[in-house]
Amino acid sequence: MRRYYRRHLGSAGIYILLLLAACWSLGPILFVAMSSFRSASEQFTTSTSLLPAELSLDSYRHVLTTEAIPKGFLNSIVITTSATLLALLIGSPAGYSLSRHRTGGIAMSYMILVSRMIPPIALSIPLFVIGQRLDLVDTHVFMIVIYTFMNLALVTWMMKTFFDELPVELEEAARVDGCTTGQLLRKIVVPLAAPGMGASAVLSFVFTWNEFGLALALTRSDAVTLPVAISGFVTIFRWEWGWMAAASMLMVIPAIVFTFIAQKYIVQGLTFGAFK
Amino acid sequence: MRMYRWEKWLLIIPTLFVVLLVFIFPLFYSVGMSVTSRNLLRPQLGTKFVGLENFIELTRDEEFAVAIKNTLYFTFGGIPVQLILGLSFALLLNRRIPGINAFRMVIVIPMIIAPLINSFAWLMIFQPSLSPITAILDLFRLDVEMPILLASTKTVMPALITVSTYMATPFVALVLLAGLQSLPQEPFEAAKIDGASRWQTLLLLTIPMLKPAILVIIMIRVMDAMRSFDLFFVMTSGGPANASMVLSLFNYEAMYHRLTQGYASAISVMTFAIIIVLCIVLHRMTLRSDEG
Repeated sequence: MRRYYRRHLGSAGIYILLLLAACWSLGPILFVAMSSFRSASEQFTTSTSLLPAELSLDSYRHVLTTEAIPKGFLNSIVITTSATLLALLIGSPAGYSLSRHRTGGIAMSYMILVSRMIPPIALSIPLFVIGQRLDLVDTHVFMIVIYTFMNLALVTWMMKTFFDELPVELEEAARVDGCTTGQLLRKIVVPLAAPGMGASAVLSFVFTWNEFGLALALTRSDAVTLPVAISGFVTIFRWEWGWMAAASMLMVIPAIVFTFIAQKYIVQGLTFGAFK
Repeated sequence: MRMYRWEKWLLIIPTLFVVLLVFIFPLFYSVGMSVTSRNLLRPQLGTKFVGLENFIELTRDEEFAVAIKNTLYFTFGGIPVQLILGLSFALLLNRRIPGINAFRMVIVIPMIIAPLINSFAWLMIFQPSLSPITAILDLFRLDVEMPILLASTKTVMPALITVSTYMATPFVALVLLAGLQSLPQEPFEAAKIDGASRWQTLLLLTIPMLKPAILVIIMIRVMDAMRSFDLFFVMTSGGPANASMVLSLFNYEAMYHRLTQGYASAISVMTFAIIIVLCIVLHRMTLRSDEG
């Protein structure tokens, strides 16, 4: 009997600690969410309360009728989607080649990995100068190419670890049956790789969607992405917390929805294939 | 499996091409610019070769010294806290109890939210007139004023390290959780039979066995902390009085505010150098611990 109690008290304790951890993780964004629903009049009252007095969509209405935020949202969708698809198209075959043939040996793997460790601001400087010469700064194409590169390291590595776990036998059997390389890739490898590609696509999307430093440095007005639009919005309306919160929610929601879709592969992707 | 040589290279060439175009070439371009006097404010001076002048000037620049000091403080001040919190989370999550998957997803959320948005959220939390902390203090009718943490040179870095800990803990917890799940069970059973307490098992068994994972985490965290920018840009812009000026922000201002491209490139090159040296040192430590 005593043992029974101890076990259950023990797991109650675990749940309390887990709840505390969940509060720490969710608290800040829930606070932003609540602030985004405060009505305009409530923004300026001095008394603070944890919950808004009434749910109001004022802030969202305001943010969505500005020029910058909807434009940034659209730009972000176009740039992020293109860069994700391109990285998938280019990076998956590379991951396959690295996994099955160790093409270029360890040097290749390292180069791809290191390319992700570079500080974005440091990378932006030569890109800005080169981009200015070629008249590419503040264009969608330029941002898509740069983000494709940023995603390539992630896609190549995730796909490499994914292929490492797929058995080679199936491909060998297909060879014996006389498949050409093209047929092999199309009929065997791609269908098998589909879940891995889906997971890398989701994570690439989220990372690109969230990227700020490069976009801040390399866009002015035409190709401004959502994070840059939001940060510009904040500099102008520094004390309009409700607007700021509503704009932030527009950015957070797609990222969270997308990640929940790929939750099975999330550890591998987020820890960058360091562990499976 | 057989495949022609050109075929396996064909698969990797597009990736190589993009990496060369957007990474390797700009890298060399940066090194090239760092030995010139390129300055967008004085275009009439043109781009002249000035040798190591930018680097010499950097060693005399007090702001650069402050930026290095702050970057190292930010990087190494945060890692121990992140490891302790991350390990606690990983130990909590490493149980087969109902609902654990939901908790795992919730704990990952700070990592999925853009650093920019996390910075806004904490900017609001650190703002006494809005802060939920004030609301909680009011709720308990405590007559304590919340200090403006971001406005004092003493508290600004600890405040920023807190935010960075918030953002980094999910990563640390996920890697340690994966590490915990791959540990063999036998030593733990043996420890149980020998009557080891929970703390003894944790300190003498679990943590030493997680050492490889911990070293990987430290390495990745060092690189990530050295590159963080969003946080400083949004929350402090380096203030008050340069107390939170870090290398990435210093680099940004040299390039896009003062428009001194040569000088900014020299800062980038130095930042790389510091990151590479730190990585080599940490890598050596990893190798040594593997032998020992």
